[in-house]
This record gives sequence, structure tokens and C-alpha cells, in this order.
Amino acid sequence: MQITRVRLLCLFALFLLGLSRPSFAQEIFSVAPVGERTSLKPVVPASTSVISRGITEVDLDPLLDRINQANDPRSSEPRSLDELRALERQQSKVAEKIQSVTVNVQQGSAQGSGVIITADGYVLTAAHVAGKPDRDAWILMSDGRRLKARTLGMNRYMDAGLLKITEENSAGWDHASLGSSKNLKSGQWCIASGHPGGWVKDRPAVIRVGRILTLVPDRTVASGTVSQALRNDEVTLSTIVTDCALIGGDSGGPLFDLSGKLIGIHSRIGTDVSDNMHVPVDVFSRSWDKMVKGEAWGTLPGYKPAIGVVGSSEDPRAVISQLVEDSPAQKAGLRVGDVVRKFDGSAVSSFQELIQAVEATLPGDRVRVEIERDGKIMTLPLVVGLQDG
Amino acid sequence: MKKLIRATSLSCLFLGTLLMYCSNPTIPSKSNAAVYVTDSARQQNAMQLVQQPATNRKRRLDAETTTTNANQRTYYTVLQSFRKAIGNNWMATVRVLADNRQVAMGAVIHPDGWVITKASEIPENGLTCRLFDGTRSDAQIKARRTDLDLALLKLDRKELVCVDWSQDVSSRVGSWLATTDLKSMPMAIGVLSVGPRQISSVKAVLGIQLDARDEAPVVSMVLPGSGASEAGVQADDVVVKIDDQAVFSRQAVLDILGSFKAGQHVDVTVKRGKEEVELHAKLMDLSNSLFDPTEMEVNGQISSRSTGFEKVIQHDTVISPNQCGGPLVDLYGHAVGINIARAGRVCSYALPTDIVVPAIQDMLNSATDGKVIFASANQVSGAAKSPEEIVVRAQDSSVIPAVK
Repeated sequence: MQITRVRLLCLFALFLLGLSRPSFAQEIFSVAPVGERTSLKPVVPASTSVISRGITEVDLDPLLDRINQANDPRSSEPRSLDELRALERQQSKVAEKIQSVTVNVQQGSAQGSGVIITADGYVLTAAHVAGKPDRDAWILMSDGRRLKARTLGMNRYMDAGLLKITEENSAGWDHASLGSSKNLKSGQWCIASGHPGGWVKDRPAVIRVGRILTLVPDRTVASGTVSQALRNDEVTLSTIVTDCALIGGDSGGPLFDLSGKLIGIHSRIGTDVSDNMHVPVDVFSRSWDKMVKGEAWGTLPGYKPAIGVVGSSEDPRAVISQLVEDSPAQKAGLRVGDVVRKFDGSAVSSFQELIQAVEATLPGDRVRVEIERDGKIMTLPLVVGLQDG
Repeated sequence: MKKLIRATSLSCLFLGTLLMYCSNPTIPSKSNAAVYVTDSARQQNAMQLVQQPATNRKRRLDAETTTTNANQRTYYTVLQSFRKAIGNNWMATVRVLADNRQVAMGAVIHPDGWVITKASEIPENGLTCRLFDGTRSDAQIKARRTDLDLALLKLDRKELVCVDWSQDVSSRVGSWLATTDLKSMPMAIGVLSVGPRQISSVKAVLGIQLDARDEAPVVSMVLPGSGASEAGVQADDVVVKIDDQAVFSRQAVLDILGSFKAGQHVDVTVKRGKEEVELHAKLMDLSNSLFDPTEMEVNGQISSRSTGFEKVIQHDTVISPNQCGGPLVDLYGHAVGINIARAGRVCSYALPTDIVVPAIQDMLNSATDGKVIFASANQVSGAAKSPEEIVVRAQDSSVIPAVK
């Protein structure tokens, strides 16, 4: 067992070092619009859900008024044992309530977390957990129940994703009380839950407590390729950075304020333990209808998929006119002159559509590419790469 | 199998990224990596380390230097507010040193110099303990509980302040927990993340790959970060002896190593060229991060023994492996457990009081032939049978002398 592992390590080392070449596949995306995808049919009719209060909201202990209202991080610290104990009671109450709304999300080979936000079973998660719209997924509750779900739309630019539990529950699902990410302050206390490391038997959702460190308003991550319109739409929202430590499997899990209202969704981390980033919850309300309809748009910040081919948007077909050295496309065996007909299950009839099909994948996805070469149709497996810089 | 691929591919990504960083010395290694936090094969096959654009990075750093400190939950004024909460337990906290280097923390459990600590972090000999008052004392290992990874140490001291054990083992998830230091301000704080549960053990590994083409135990690769790598095992070394047992085949090496637990040491003699080299290596839990530099990076240092516990509570305090072994205290001045492992970025484990207290009794018993008995306060009244000496919760700090 051990031996196999190590051998694989070497193989992959060779493969992936190749990918870090600086010239990697940049060309194809210089013309890429980060527009919306409209080709997908709505899976669920536009929302008729009544957003009710949710079960996680907890009255704030009056002893915490000063801490909660402080505008300066230095004033949001507990100063006495009484305040510290009040903070503890508040955290414990919220921690207890958020168990039944925190879920594990499994879609394909991805495993992350999520949070139920309506009685009819809408579940917020991260875009990179949901993967793609209109796919089957599983929801595992903290108590071990396993439910069928379907992925809906996603705003990959902000890493916000949506699912819906497709199983009936006449009593309505326990769901989180929605807050707003609008008036968050640095220094504010918050409570995170999720299923780090994926689903673990007999382990409920894992609770962490921390503070908001920074709110990063201008996230120019997809630098240069983001259309101005999109920028205006998204940029006013701030990514939340906290010291609630997150790890693989937490993605999509909820971040709550001290009164148990949902303020964010876990997204990504830096190497430092106090570098944990969350999607602000307002992203969801802002584009709720689009997401419910199953639309997907944007690419993940700093995580843009690429395959390393160049073509012309004038040509009515998706013809490859240039191939980047050592790119995923070259490794998959694609050649200049090949006409791409299908990419990852989506029919492709122009280079533009190929760009869209690539953007709908994630770096690392294993996809099949159907091409026409010298009048013959063939299908090649390809591993999507990451666009540099 | 899926898991393997994921783990392995990651490592390479990391290599690639590292190279990129190296070529640009102006980029600080912190915060230029963002890792999406799914546990997914899809994700992990892809690159987890993502460079953020320079503009973004700069902004982040600026923000951090101006505000982050006062914002953090571990900011010193927050920690200060714990001073009154943790009682005298800090006076019962010790640092366990070997060669002047801290290897673990410990907890005084009996005034006559009895201390417990995390067993797998301490060497057999040459131990010293530093106490809250700045004094040092040599320490001898008197008993071990390998199943719990606890060791009982004896210092030549009297009238020490002891840990005040909690009688209530039902802390609520979300409650504050302080890891005590030798001063009144805690070393670190966190909250209870998951209540008591069992952590089953995973295989212990040395971190070498043996060449499958060869019947003889030839090392073909050493995993970076593993016990073997730290001990200095090199590729092409031939293993000739493990703990004084001569080995001639790959299978023999695997069989012998299979009988060890994580955290234990083995003497490995290897033949390197013409000379024989004797090395002392530690076995580690076969965790994913051992194969995965990205995970290693985001997880930080993990205890070599971090699995295989009958019952632990999980908390989110950020501590390092050599800060395990000491008391974990609630806001009411009672120790609810002993930190037993750093298990990951979001995860530290502590053995809860109801596991630790019987283990202390057991170890004291075997170390003193039943002459020294430990008892926590609620047991004193009824359970005092015929001990030569009974100690109560030492907060009252007075020793209750012989109950004869």
C-alpha cells in the first residue's frame, strides 16, 4: 500500500511540474468574455419559497451589547469574566442550533459542506463544491440522514453555489436564520461550522469560533478578463476573512454572527491558520433568481480552468489553430486543425462555445473531448489545467 | 485509490508552485496561496495552491499590518480576560524539556512532584521540568499508558500546586477552553468543537519506500517530513537491523515495523555504501498530510501520534505538538482534560477528565505499589479506603495529609 502511494507521487510530480510553465495556456482566455451562461434550462421554477425566520437565531445576551455594537476591534473584546462567560453562553447556544442546518454536500467526487436556508430545502454552498448546475448531489445531515439533492446555479466569480434537496418533507426542513453581510465589522465575533475532512461517522458538525479580521472589498482576482459590468455588480461585496480555522471539507459551510444569523459561506484558505475566507451571504440574495434558475457564470478567483488551445472566434466551428506546448490539450493528444465537437458532454459549435465549455469545468476535472480529425470522429480524455496568473 | 491520487497529485503541485515562489524572492511566502477548502478528488487533482494577483496580495498585507492583531481572537487583551477564569491551574503547569528544548507541557497532579505529560513526545532520559516559579527539576519517567499516550513523571519536589480537575464532564460545544502556560495568561485559547468521541488508530509508518524489485530491504525513497527523513535515512540505504533484530528481506522489515505504534522510536541500522549507520527514528501516523506537502503546509505541525484514543474532546486551539501534555481549563477554573495531540489545522485533541483521572490513579498505583493515591475531591469522602496519602483537587493547594 505504502509503496504504491509513493510511486504515484513520482509520476504526478513529472506531470504537474510541466504545468507550472509560465506561458501556460494564457492565449485562449485573452478573448474570453466572462459572461453569463444562458444555455442551461431552468431546473426548478423561480423561487416561491417564503424566507422564514429560521431556527438558528438566538437573542443576544444584554451583557454582550457593548461587544456586539463596538465599532473598534479593541472595544469588541470581553473585558471581564462576566462578559467572557456571557460570550461563551451565546456561542454555545448558537453552536447547538446550527447543528441541524449544517450539512455535508457530496457531488461527484467532491465533498464539502452546506447550510439549509429555507423550509423547502434550498442549500447554500460554495460554487466549487456544487461543481455544475443540474447535477445529482447528496446531502448528509449532522445526524447521519442522507438526502437526494440537485445542484442549481452558481456565481463562480464569488464562489457561491446553490442546491435544492429534492426529497419531500412536509414538516419543512430546519433552516438557518439569514443575516446580512452588509454591516459587518472587523473584530466582530463569529461562529463557523462544517464537516472538515469530509463526512465522519459519529462526528457532528465541527464548531469553531473566531473574529472577522478583514473585509476585502475589491477582489480583482480575475484580473483583466472581468467585464466592467460584472465588476460593478460584484465588487461592492466584501470577502470575509476570519480566524475561524477552516480546512478541506469545510467549503460551503456556514459562518454565523453571535445572534445565530448566517453571514457567510466558507470558501478558501491561505497557509496561515488565521487566513480563512468566506463568501459574503449577500451574494446569494443579490442573484437569487438567476441561481435558482440554474445559471452559472464567472470563474473561481485565481482558479481559472484552461486547456491551452488557441482558435478564432470568426470561424463557425471550434477549430484549433494553435496548441500551447505541454498544455493539457497537447497531452491529451489534440492537434492543430482538430475540430472540437463536444467538450465534457456539451455540444460545441464555435470556439466561443468551447471557451464557455472549458470555463464550466474546474482545473483538475477529467473530461472527454470529441473531435473531428481528417473526417474521423474520435474522443480523447483530457485533464483540465489551471491558467497561470 | 481515489484518495491516493488526490494526495499524491497535490504534492507535486506544491513542488511546482514552490519553484515559482523561489524565482520571485519578493513574494512573501504567506498569503500568496489560497486553497479552496473542499475535500474533493476533483479539487485536489487540480492545483490547490493558487497564486493571487499581486495587487490583491499587497492589499491584504497592508490590511494585516494595521488591523489584524487587535482583531484576532488571540489578541493579548482577549487572552488577558482569561486570567481570572483559569484559577491556579497555571501554577500546576510545567514545561518538559530535553536537552534544553521544550518537548511537551505537563500537569502537576500530586504535590509530591508527580507530573503527567504526553508520552510519545518525551525521550527516556535527560528530562527536566520547568515550573511556574522559574525553578527547574530533573524528572524521571515512572509509568506509561501507551494506549492513552500518557506518561507519569516524578520530580524531587514537595508541596507543588496541583491541577484542579473538573467534576463535570459535560462541557457544551462552543465553550471556551484555555491551554495554560507557566504564567497567568494562557498560552492559547479555543472552543470545544466536538464533544467526547473515539478516534480509531491508523497505521504507523516510518516513511520509507522499499524497492519492490529487490528482495533485500533497499530504501528507494524517503518521504519528506517523515520520521525516517528526520533521522537521516537516505535512498539506496539497505536496512540491516531494526531494534537489534537483523533483517534480510522487505517482508521482515514491514513485519517488524507493523508491530509499532505511532510516536514510538525504533533503532534502524542501515548499510550505506560500505559503512553501517545507526539511526534513531520515530514512527508517525499514516496521515494524508504525510504524503501531501500542501496539506502539511496548511495543517502546520501535527503530533506524530494523533490517532488511536479511546475518548477525546476536540477543540480548535492552535497549539504545536510540543505544547501538548498540559492542562486544558474551562472558564470556571477547572481542568476538563489534558491536551494530547495536535491533529490538524482545525483540530486539537484532549483526553477528558473522566479518562485522565482513572489513568493517573492507575499509573500512580503501579509506580508506587499503591503507596501514593490520587483522588479528586468528590471521591475523597467515600472512596478513601486505606491510602497512605490522599490528595484532593489541589486548588485548595494544601495537601491533605495521610488519612490514617
